[in-house]
Amino acid sequence: MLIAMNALDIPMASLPAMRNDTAASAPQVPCPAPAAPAPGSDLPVLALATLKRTAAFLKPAVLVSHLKTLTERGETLLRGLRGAEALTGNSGTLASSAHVLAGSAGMFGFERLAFVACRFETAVQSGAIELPDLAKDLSAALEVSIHEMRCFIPAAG
Amino acid sequence: MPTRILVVEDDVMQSDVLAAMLEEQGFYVETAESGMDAIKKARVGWFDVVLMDYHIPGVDGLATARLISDLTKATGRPRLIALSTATEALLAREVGGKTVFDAVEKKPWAPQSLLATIKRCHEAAPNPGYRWAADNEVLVSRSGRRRRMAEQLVTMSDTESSAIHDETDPETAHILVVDDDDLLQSFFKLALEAEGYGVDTATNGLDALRKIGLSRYDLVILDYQMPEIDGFATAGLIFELVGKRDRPQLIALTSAPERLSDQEKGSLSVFDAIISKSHGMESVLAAVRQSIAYKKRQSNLEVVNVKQLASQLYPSA
Repeated sequence: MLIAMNALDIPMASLPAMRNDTAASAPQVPCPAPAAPAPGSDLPVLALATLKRTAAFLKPAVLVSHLKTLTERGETLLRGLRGAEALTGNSGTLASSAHVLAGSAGMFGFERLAFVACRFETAVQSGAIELPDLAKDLSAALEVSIHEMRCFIPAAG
Repeated sequence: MPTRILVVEDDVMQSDVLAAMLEEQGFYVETAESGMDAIKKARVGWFDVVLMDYHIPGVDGLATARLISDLTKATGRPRLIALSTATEALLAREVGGKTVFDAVEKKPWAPQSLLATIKRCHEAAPNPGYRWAADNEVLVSRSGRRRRMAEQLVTMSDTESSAIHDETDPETAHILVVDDDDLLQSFFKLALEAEGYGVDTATNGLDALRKIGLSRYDLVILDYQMPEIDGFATAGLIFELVGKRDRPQLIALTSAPERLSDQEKGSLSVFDAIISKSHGMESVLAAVRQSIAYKKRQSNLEVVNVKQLASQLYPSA
């Protein structure tokens, strides 16, 4: 827990308790390199400075609550993207979810997710042909970002 | 006096974080979750700056900003800053180079950049409205406003007050016709003026709301299918802006009422009457007469009630 706090360099009082040691070191783990570099893959999964900056304005309990909400949003979008007819019958809803996530994830430093979600949203609105590829990129960004988010949420009980 | 900021953001999480950051910097902050909520608050809140999420459902950021800009002209227009995840090129294309916004900030926002933009916008053109309102005691309590209104009414002679609302005289009735079709708009104007009504026209919902903000109408005839803000959304905004009690009568015009979905039929309850354009002018005029008569009766009743209240409160006046 102490390692994580030092890594984030956030005042002790403003940080939620970390779940475990894996979580503590998670922000420093390099992102898995995709087979073909996709736009945004060079961005950090989590920009610690941004998370630190946002955390400074919030009470620890509020920060945890927001991160939980963010995780739930990410998981919902991921499930939607994995649906059988995700990009044909449901793309508008997915784009709306991606839009909300782009703003909120970026605010907490999840830069790669924010970038890819924004590209996905724009692609849905413009009917871009590369939508399936962008959906894959978004799913990948969601998976790795959700993993990071969970590290900051204390285990229930 | 702290700088007053209205944060317009439909995502509560983003709104909370932004408000927390701004309050920590010493700003006075209020939040609005929709365009309609923002318009309502901006009209009475004397804000220096409005931070507007560009992509909000319902009345979008651009339409909301235009309405706020129009409706606060007389009292002091706040600086309008758009927050958007879209690229600047996209934003520039959407606003067609005639942006109502004073600045655009990219989402996710960076505190230093956002604070610098707020400072720059506010210092370049501070809103004198709030200070003026405070200095001139315009910001009175609701009971203070009611007292003033009552005082004005009791000083009015019976002849004067009865002359204000004559149920049978169409010349005292003012109608706003809202239709994006110029031909229909002119046709309705001519027909209604021939009946002796005072008629103004508006080409879209935004134009209509601007006019309703400036003048008082007894009746608004709205085309249901209009671009940007449709008839239903416009009617909803009229309810919010003018208030249920003071709102004009609302008549919806539609070219195909049978094609309206169940949801649309339900939503049409905000209107006092629904008329098919194919039913001819006589149907429209009949509905207009009925609506105007109802509005006049309602207004007369209110004058009597407030006068009674005033005489009870100030028996010596």
